[in-house]
Amino acid sequence: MNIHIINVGLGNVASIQNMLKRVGYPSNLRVTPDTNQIPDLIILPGVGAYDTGMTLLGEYNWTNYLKEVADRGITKILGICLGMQLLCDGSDEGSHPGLGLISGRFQRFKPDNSSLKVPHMGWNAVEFTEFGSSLFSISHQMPRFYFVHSYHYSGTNDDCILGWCNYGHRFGAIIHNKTITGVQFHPEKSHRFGMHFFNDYINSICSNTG
Amino acid sequence: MLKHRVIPALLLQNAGLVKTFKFKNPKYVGDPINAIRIFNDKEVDELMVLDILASKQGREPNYNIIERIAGECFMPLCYGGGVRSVEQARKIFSLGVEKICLQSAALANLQLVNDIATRFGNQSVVISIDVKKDWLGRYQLYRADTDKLVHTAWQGFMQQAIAAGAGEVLLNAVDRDGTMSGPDLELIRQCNQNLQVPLIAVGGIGSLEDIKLAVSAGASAVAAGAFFVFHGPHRAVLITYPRYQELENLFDN
Repeated sequence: MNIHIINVGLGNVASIQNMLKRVGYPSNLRVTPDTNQIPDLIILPGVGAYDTGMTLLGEYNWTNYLKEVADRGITKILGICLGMQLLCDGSDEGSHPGLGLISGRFQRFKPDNSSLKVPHMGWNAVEFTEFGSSLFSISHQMPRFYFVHSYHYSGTNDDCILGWCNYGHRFGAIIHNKTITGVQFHPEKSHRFGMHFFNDYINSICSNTG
Repeated sequence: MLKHRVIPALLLQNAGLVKTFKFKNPKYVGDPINAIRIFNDKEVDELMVLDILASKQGREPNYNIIERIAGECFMPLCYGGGVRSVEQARKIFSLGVEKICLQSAALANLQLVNDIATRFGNQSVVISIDVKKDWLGRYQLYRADTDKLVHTAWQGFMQQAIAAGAGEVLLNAVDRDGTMSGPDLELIRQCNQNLQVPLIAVGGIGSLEDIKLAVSAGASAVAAGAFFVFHGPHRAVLITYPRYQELENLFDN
């Protein structure tokens, strides 16, 4: 299992590498794409602003590379938090278009209830769909994950959603399109549940070459 | 639904963990890495590590120890102490830290809050508001680096910091620090008025009931130091954290 973590200053690469190491998978941090050897899995982490994220991906030659890798349909791509958002079409937070690998955009939380703060920050439950449950055995353990975000997924096609979260209203917390997966939460910071998540993800989605 | 976070707040002095009493008399409580391993095993919601000397001494954050701490943390980690530049913040984030807590540098100039928030997002900046009562019993902004009251309205400063980009407020009741005598509920209520971002209340927590009271007064999350590191009337060092089920029952009732 050859894992590359995109390291362009978009946040917590060390945390992801630590967590993968903990569950038994070495990984490489990559500032620019490795054009000699395409990895089995590319992780796109992300903390920060949407446009900054897209700009950094462009600056370090990731934008076209990721689109090509997605087109080839072999290497898996996992986007985490802002990384998930960058995989989609765009966000109200910025003006740059996203990578467009999963359909849908991101909208800001507008809670009617003033006790709900923005960002949505903390531990929340994820309810897996039937298909999501078939891929993630962790779905049977009432998992909770750590979230920090102000914008949430909003797509027209619920078929790509593997797991739902609720904060004022329901939104897609795990989204999926063929070889591309995005999670809004931080599995690398969700202790036991995060470890299970990575194990399940690598064992079911990454081992499935179709 | 979102659960209220319960956060151990650990104080770093040189390379050891200490716990203060009303921000004074730091008492050594152990090796930070060992303590963090224990908190990690106990699956704490989040962890906060504050270097209480860095700003006082005007020195750089201790990257070595931050890296070792972050390497043990499989939960979100907030670091505070001595951060004065975006470059320092970048370095700390790159070691595996999620949030940076600012006080001294923010009091000097809110531009740093803005710069870090622009580069790394609002969620990565916590503004630390220490509040202490003056001799007339009025809440006053306090700065931990000089141990002095600041004659700036604390709520005004907090709102300016949020406008500059702080995504979360750490509200510390200085008079309750280390006392385990209960949170300052009036202060939490005042803080939470018109507050749009999450509020972490710290200071005075001595029981699970105190955590619940702080949440009822408006805290989104509750942090505690002494409650998680001391045990019994003689304040013997013992690292504890409630089981998840206990916390779930606490907030459900």
